[in-house]
Amino acid sequence: MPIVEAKGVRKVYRGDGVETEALRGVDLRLEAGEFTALVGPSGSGKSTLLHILAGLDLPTEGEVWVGGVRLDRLSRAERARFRLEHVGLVFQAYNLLPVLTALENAAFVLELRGLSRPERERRAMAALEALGLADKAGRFPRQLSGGEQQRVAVARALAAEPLLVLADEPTANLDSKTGLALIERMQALNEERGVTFLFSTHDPRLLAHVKRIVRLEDGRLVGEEWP
Amino acid sequence: MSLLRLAWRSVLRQRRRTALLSLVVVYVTVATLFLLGFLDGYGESLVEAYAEYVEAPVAVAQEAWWADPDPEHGLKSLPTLAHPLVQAVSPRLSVYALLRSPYRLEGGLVLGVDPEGEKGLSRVPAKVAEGRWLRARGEVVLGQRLAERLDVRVGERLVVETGKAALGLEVVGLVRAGVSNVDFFGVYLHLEDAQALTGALATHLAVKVPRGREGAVAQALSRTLPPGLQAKGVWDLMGPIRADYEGSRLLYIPLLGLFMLLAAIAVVSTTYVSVRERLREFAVAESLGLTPWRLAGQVALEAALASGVGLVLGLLLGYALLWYTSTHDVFGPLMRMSVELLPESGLSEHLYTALRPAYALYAAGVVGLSALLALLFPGRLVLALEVPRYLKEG
Amino acid sequence: MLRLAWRNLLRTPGRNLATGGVVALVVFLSLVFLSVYAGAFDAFFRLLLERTGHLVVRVESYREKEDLEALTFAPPALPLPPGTQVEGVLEGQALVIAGERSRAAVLTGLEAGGLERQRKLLKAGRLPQASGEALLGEALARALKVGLGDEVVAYAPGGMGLGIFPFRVVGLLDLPETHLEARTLVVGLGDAQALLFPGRVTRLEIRLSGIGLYDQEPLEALKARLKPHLEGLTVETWLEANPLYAALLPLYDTVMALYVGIFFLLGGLILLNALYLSLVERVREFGLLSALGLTGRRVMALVFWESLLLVGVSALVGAGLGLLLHLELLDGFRLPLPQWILEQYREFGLPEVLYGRLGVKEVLLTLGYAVGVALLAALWPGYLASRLEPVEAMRYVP
Repeated sequence: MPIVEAKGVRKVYRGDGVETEALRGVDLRLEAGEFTALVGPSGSGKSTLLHILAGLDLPTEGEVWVGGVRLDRLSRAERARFRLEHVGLVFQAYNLLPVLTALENAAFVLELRGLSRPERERRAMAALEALGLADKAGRFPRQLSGGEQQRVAVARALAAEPLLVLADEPTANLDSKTGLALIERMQALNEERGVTFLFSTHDPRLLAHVKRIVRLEDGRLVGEEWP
Repeated sequence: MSLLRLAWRSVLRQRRRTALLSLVVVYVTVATLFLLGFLDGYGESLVEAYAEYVEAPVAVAQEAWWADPDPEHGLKSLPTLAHPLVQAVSPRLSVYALLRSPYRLEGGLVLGVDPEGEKGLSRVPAKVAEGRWLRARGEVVLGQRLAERLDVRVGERLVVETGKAALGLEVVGLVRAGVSNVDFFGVYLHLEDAQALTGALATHLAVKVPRGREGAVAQALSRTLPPGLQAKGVWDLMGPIRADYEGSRLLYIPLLGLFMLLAAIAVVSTTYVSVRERLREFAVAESLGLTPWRLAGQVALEAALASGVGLVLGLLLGYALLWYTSTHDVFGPLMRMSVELLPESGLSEHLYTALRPAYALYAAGVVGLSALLALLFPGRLVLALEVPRYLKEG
Repeated sequence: MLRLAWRNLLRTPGRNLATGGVVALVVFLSLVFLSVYAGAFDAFFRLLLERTGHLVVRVESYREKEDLEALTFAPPALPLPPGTQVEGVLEGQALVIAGERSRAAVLTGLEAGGLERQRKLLKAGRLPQASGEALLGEALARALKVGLGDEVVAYAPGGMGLGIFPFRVVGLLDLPETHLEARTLVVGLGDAQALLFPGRVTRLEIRLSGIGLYDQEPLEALKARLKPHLEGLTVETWLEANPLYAALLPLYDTVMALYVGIFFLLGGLILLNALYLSLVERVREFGLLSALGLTGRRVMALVFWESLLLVGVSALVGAGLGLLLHLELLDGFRLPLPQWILEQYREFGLPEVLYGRLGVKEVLLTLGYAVGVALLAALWPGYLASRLEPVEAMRYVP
């Protein structure tokens, strides 16, 4: 069974009398353990697709299945609970809650799930260590660099041990060296722990590390590669 | 618990904003505490004046006497009162009479009392400022201001006339009680002298019971008394001044509610701005799996905490103020003026505010109101949040 | 600058509407409170004036004198302007006896004009027309168990008169204050003089027409004119005759200013919050303004203009609504309290129906508070805005 399956997903935005078709019938399957990049020029619909797969947004047409659950049939609150249990998310920037420390941010999802304090701190700490941030655990987001903040976001996604991690341009705000380091970390985690990753990027240098590349253009899938 | 901590840190992050907001909440909290303390203090001063000086905690008389207070409707015999809370009982005989000093005439209500029994019941005997309290027949004790009007001094004679009988009495004491009715109109003579003037036994029984139990004891007594007799508690013995107390409550308590509402509106507009600034943060939280209603709850929690800071400060300040006004006679000058203006009112010359823990509970209404309004307004922002929009742009 | 301020206010309509609403409410409530309180105060004083008369003539240093002989005088002829009424009154304490019962009362002897003024208090019966007829307070009649047509005896020893005099009750009076009603016996002046002191009065009450409630000047002028004609007598205005009430009068303005201040302090604190919030929301914009070359002083002026505009518009709305309600109160109103409480308030001289009063002074006080609050509340946010560093402010992230 695939982890993610999108069938004929269309997304139309309506605003001020203008209709914009962001996705024009996308079919996509991801199997467990994949490490896949979603590429395409800006405005091609990468973010929209990731948001729909995360249940942050609903498709106008089509079906979205994640882990055997049909997401587009769930209410907003049910989708939120589903993400809490099964999906990790990393965004381009401002991922962290500014009033929480790195450790508290990484443990936040576990805390919401109701884990005891020692347990969630142990797991969050382990995730931070895996991303090389053990010494920054007590710092607040504003005391961290951009790359460190993104690594905390990845740590938070991993600590929750989700089915799937979705990342929307995680390296866009980082310089290329830091960006590359982040992708390498993610790749290592994919290989060691079998976490399924799907991330969007338009940085060609990162593509050397992925197993599969899905190309999106003007709201359609236009090709796939297995480097 | 984690959400509480999150809300708390969000509130503390905007220190200046929280501080400004607290000013409003502190002000309203202090106003609430003070007004409640003042109103209760006023009520208590009235109860004290009427229970311990002007009347008694409870009085028992014929129903006919309550309707038409003439010695003609006096008690035919003294009933025994069987109630565990009754601490003292003493008969009184009130008579309308004309008082004649060598120069002047004054009309008024004369109270015949048992000199010893009265000591256990009323504080008037202890408030004799000049001379002494009654001991025997042939003596009279006057309110100091009345004595001034009559122009009599201790040792001089006073004639009490009822139209049917007259008695020449010696003034043995002047009372200065600080309660208007006593000082301006009080005339106390021996019960037996009053009996001789009227031929009646007594008009009513004054009954001492613990403070706060007057109404209940009066009700209980009324049920067990022989037919034709009725007991009244101090609130029912009070004159028209009671209406002023009740009227003040009716006017000022809604005003307090309005103050709290306005403060809550201020809290909520601050929360509104804080939430709008942080919509991205809320979007991230939802993307991590927080349901929209929990986010709205978070907003309400922040509003409650922000107003809670002001509440705590306001309670400290308000109770300090109440403590001061409950131990210092700050309103004395105001009350003395009212006593002169309304000598018939039974007002006391002193007013100390009450100080009760329950006020904190009422004042905390502002926190609840803020949370509720926050749920309705900024909370709606979060409920209507378009998560993808706030996650897209960097 | 004004236009910019105005548009900024329109940008956050919700909050500014709420803040403006609070200011308008405060202005509205203040005006209504002032109108109601002035109405109640006037009613209190009008009752006093009605009972006292504009000017009162009594024997000199009457407060120290004791016996009736020293306190009474034969009324002299006075040069009074046309339209002025003068009435002699003889007042003394008496015991009123009816059969088995007796009560102490204040016996008041009035001339025809004075008796006529009792007509509106008359609850039953008629005014005395001949000697030997009396008006009794209803409560006194009840206590004595007498009614219309019954006889009572007034007993007042110690004067130069008969000391005892029988009256037939022809009318019952309903006074607002029960304690006064229970001590009121009103008779013709002639009868009172026969009982207490032939040919004498305890006071002359002089009433003028067409002068305002607190208008003291014409009273002082008439007082000065009367003085040379009053040998051994003294003339006082009604406020001088009631020194305690006179002492209240100057306190009134202070108390009202404090009262209104309590509302405005709350309004001002809420305004301060709103101004500060609109500042933090627009830090980047203020940065831009100063980058464009606006001096700190002008940035501060912008904040002040916004505050003044917001308060100005709201105060006008609040004042408009307040004045509308005041027009309604002007025709008479009852306090929103249960009937039994209103009835009891009559015991303190407060009639059930009051008439609102708003002077220019009250409106100015309210608007003055509004402007003051607008300026004070803008002070700190304005200072903060004027000190923003443009580069930092434009980079500001909340």
